Amino acid sequence: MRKITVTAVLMLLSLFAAPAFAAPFKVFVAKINSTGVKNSDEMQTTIQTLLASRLSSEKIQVVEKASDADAVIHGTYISIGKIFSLDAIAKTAEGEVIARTFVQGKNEDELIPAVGSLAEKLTAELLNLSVSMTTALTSKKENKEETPKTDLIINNEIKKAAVGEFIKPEIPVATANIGWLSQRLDGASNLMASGRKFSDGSREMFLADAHRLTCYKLEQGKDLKLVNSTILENTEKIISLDTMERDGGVDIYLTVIRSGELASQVWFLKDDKLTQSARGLGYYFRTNRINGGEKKLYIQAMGRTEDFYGEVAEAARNGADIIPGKKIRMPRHGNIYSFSQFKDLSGNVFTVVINPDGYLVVYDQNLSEIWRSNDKFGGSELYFKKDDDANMRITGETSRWIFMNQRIQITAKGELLVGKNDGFWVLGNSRSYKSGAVYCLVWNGSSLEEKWHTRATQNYMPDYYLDESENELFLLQTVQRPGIKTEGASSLSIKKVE
Amino acid sequence: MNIKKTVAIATAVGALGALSVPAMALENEFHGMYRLRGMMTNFENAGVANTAVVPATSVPVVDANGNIVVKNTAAKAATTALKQDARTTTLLEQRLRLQYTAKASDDLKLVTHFEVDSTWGDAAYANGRGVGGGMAADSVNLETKNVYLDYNCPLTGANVKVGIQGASDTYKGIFFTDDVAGIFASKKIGEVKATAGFSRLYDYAGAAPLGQNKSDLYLLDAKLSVSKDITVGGAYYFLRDNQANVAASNAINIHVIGANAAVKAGIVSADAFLAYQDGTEFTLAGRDLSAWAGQFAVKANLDKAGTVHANVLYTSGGKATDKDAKAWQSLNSSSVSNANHNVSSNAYYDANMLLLMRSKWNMDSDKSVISTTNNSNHGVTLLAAGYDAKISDKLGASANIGYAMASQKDGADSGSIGTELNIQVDYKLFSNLTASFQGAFVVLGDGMNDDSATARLLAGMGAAKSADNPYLAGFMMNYTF
Repeated sequence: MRKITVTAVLMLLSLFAAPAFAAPFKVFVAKINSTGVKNSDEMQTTIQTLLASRLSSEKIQVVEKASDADAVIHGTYISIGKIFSLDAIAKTAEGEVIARTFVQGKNEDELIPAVGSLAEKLTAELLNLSVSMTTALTSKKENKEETPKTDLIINNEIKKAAVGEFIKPEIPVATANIGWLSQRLDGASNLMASGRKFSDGSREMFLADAHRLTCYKLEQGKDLKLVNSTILENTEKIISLDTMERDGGVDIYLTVIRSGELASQVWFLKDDKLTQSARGLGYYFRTNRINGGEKKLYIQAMGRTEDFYGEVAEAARNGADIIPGKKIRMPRHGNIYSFSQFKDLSGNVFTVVINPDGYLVVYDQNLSEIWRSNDKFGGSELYFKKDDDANMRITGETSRWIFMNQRIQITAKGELLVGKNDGFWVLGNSRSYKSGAVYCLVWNGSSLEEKWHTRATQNYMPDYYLDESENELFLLQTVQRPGIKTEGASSLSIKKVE
Repeated sequence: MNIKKTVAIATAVGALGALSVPAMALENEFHGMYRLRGMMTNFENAGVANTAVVPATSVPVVDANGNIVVKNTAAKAATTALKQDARTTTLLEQRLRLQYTAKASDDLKLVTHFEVDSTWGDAAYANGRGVGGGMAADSVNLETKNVYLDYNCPLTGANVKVGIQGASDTYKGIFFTDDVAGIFASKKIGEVKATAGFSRLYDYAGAAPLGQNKSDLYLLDAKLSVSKDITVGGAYYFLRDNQANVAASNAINIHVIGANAAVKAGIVSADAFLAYQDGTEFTLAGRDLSAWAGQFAVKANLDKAGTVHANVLYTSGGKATDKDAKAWQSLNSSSVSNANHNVSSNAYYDANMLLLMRSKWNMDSDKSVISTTNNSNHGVTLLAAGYDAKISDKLGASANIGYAMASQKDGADSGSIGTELNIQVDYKLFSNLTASFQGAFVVLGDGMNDDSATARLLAGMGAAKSADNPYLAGFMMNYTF
């Protein structure tokens, strides 16, 4: 009996909704931005025309001026290799995003059908919205003083999952899909760091794989240009790459493991020349903006039995001499790579650590745990090994594996960024991640709350970096893993954060 | 479906959901290993591990070689493994290890560790450990190595491991290294890490333990990190072995006390230890134990040239006629499934020997010329050196040489046991899978060719007159995760 009642109510509701389709929904299709394609200008116009044509129907009217439209469609066309993605958002005149959708294709032959699919998806979303807007408008006219709660619920219900490059779960905020993707880079890089920025808008970028440090110059809209490169010995493995500007050049700190011991190196890049400043240093290095402040050099040592010994300390360098400075007490699971610090609005300092299981743990000023995430973050395939003959009987291995994790970056605003990789095969020390994303979290006084996260990358994301001054997020991806006959390959992409 | 049923189902689902909440917090962690080892050798025999000579007496306290054989309830036949015209054999063995850890939180986890060993062609449709490699396979052969709780005590902050677990002394295993049932608590106080533990090695009532005749091990261990490059430590072990039909007042009591240190200076790292054993009521009534051992190891990291390392090990030996027993004592366990085996529960893997001393790569064919550091009461003096090279990112190689002699030749003309030369080449097929080729050759020393058969027992297993020099050539696939 109840089922019949519910069905009858739904049918009645649909009858009431029908008049809403009477008036066509007016849209204006703006120029489609395209990235990573040849003949970019031509492609923008072509896709714009195609989309307008496919959207046009009895229920949706495509108008010629944005001012005449109920909604303006903005789109992007991004091509990565052969794969492309068409993304579209619909905004009201007030700039509110009312619909988002996207389609993907494997090659250019699928572009025209993809535009059709995109138009179908948009049409469905806009018509649903049209119903709710009309209903809300009608209700408002009928009773201006009472807010129609049911309409608000419907409005929330019909909001699809956000599909922009930055997904904001709470309040949708306009985002841009402006992106840049590098050419395919030889070698499966594990690490990334930025260098100097120049007046012409170009900048230096550094990548490192297990044995090689490569310096590139990045000019806007162009491919990465190789500046210099050096290859370390087979016995040496790079586990960390950090940079610090000095004397018109860049100090490059490479944390290196050799035969299970630290044997770190410092290089200096100036005038495109790469010179070694020091080698065989017994420290882990990291440059970090703790509390979002000034970039400083930090060090930690390795013990005879502990992988990370003692406290993390600020440091200065004089040639091959490392001079330790102010020490920072580490909470549980805290080490030079797993920790960072942020301040709340009152200026209280909190330490945050990504623990070995991938959970974010926040500690107060007394290093007592006050919050722990329910979701896992981090995930890295980069590791180093230490002799562990004592446990050979148990593990079957002469060495134990120590995995590096994704680092935590704190912005000047106190926001916390952390990478997260998802894997199809993560079992013990056997790790193979398939995609990654960067999450932005904010401390709300009692817990870290997600502000946004990027859409998952197509590949394993070994490293990321946010350039706060430009609001640009750099994502390093492994597009091909190294094998017996190949060194693998990487790509670097930049996403604009808005 | 009526409303009552709907409500009942919803309630049941809700209850299940509530019950499953704690499980949601559980981290499932898996580790494991698969190793295949093929050998062409005139020495190793699968399933005949570390054969030691045991006299035919029903209540041995210490075997004829001076090894403390815990749970030695059956007489064991003497075997001679080093033979003249020793036949070359080919063996293929495999080992699977699976470790599952149920991690409830950072402070509590249950660790389980299982093993399946088989030698190709051994047996099928069988019930028991170490088989299942015969045609048709289908054997019940799962071994449980470890089951223990690992938790951080909320009251004391100490880390506690309780259950059946792997344990080793701080002397690189020359006294004991094996799986044991026990409880071990450790806590870091400042730069000192202290450990206290107890282990019940055996209850001599066997499958129906009575808690009367038993072998218990107690330990105290402390290590101080003086700086990032220096650690010093001390350890005390007490073994009380009260075997069946032996009065408590006549039980074996062994005290082991020692000190250890490790240091790194530039490219060189080194470690050393010194340990002394004291005990009562040994093989001869009223005889006390007074033995010692020392070790020094050094490793130099030669940058791109690779790594060189060297080791010296000394364990004292003694004579049956000594007023006090002077031979260093090491623990053995006894295999229930094969009464002819005493399995060594001690080792010195640091020497990187493949035949002369126990090899860290051995599985069921865990045989070596010197199978225990007690070495039939003769003790061991070992000098070893090696070189490790990393030729490319995937290719590595190592070479080792070692010379061993009895610390107490006990009437033999020479104490020389032998010199081993071995090489190993490793190629990393994937980050977790390494293919290795091994070769080892031992030139037996004069002591092993003595006219006296007793003298040829310088190494525990003994040797025939003019025994062939042992050799081994093999390959290995090692996958770990």
